[in-house]
Amino acid sequence: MMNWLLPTQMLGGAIEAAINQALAKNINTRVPIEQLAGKHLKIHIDEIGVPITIGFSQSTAYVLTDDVESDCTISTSLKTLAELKQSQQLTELIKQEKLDIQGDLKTAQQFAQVFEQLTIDWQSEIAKHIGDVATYRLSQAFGFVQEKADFAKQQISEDFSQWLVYEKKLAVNNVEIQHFKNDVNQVSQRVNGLMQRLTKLDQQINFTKE
Amino acid sequence: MASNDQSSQNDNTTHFGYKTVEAENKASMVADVFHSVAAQYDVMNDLMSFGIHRLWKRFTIDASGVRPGNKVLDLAGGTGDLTAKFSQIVGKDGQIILADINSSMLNVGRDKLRDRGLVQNIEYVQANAEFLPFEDNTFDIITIAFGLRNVTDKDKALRSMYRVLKPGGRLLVLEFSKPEHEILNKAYDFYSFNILPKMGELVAKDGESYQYLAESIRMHPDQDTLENMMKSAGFEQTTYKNLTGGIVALHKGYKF
Repeated sequence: MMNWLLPTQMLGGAIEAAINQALAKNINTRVPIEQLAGKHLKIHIDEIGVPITIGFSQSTAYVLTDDVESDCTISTSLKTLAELKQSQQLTELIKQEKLDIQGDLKTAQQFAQVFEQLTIDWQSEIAKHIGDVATYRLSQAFGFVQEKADFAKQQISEDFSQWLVYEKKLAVNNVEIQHFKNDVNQVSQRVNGLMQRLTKLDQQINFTKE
Repeated sequence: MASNDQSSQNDNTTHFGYKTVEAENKASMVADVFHSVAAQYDVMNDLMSFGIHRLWKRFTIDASGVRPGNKVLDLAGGTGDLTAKFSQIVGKDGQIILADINSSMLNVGRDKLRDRGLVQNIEYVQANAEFLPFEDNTFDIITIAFGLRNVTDKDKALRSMYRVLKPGGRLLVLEFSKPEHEILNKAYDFYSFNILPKMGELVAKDGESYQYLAESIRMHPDQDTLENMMKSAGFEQTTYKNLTGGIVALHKGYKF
């Protein structure tokens, strides 16, 4: 039944729409899209199983889900693809054999560069739909929720530490660590004193023999 | 099923939906249908197919094997859905001819594509599929999506397409066909004859045209018959793929 809905074509269409939406909403005018004109990047993703070829024409992207010729072919997994956002990581990922690139490496870098530089002003985009005031309030609410979430995260972390130290006695607190350090220092000093006394005694014994 | 519209009739008649009409009148009757629906064509396509026609067309593009620099004829191209995508892929070194027998459809397609900034490699030609006004061996790819069933003499049209294809070129016919399962067939019949004309009446203010659409689909050759017709016209390595349970089929054939 799912095949009736042509899932491969649906995926291709969704990727194409997402890229074109991102391009349309991009506010960074220095994204070098024109350098990709006529170039094709094919991506084989382990989890998906069909090749996805991305091309650009007149600043618009198109996606083919056929095994077409391409300037560069990347074989990888979804997890690694997420790391590809930073083009500097290409070499590192190839070394780790998480990524296989056939063809023109420069093409892969140019595509990565374009996707990395896309910048979307989310506040402006939301404001187009719900208005400036609502967007301002929404972003304030979002900031408030984020602040609360950070605080909650910190609190949970501290409470968990307390629970480990005082309830379960699985970890020690700072005072105990300090006491332990002091005890170790004292033992160290006593050992040093003992060593000096032993050295002195040794010298006295040698002097008496002579 | 008949190998073409005319073989089951006498020499001068053909089908227009379920009606039998003079062959020479069919083109103008089909033209009237499409003049009537042209303005609402895209909206109705989305409504009638629940948007799935976009996926069928995307499948056709994927199966076409189109490459940068190719010359493509989008026959009965209507409002230019396939042309738009082909135009992007073939690039500035390629060329797309959007051809349709109907001037209203061609105008809607031309306006839509120009509004999208697609101008660099597209030409528009008003042409009858039976008498294609192009030299022999001109195109790498010919597509005809949801158009062949409206052609009066399908065999003649297929031969004409074969003539203008380059050796190594391929024809892709995307068309409504016969559903693979009986239950689906019955549901599809109910939808086509009871819901579709009402949708047409409501949205395009033209129920009759959509009644014709449903009837013309039933009168169109089934998958195997159409494949045989392509073979008879000279095409080789012919195949077809049923989409959405056979509601639509994509036929493909090569000229060598």
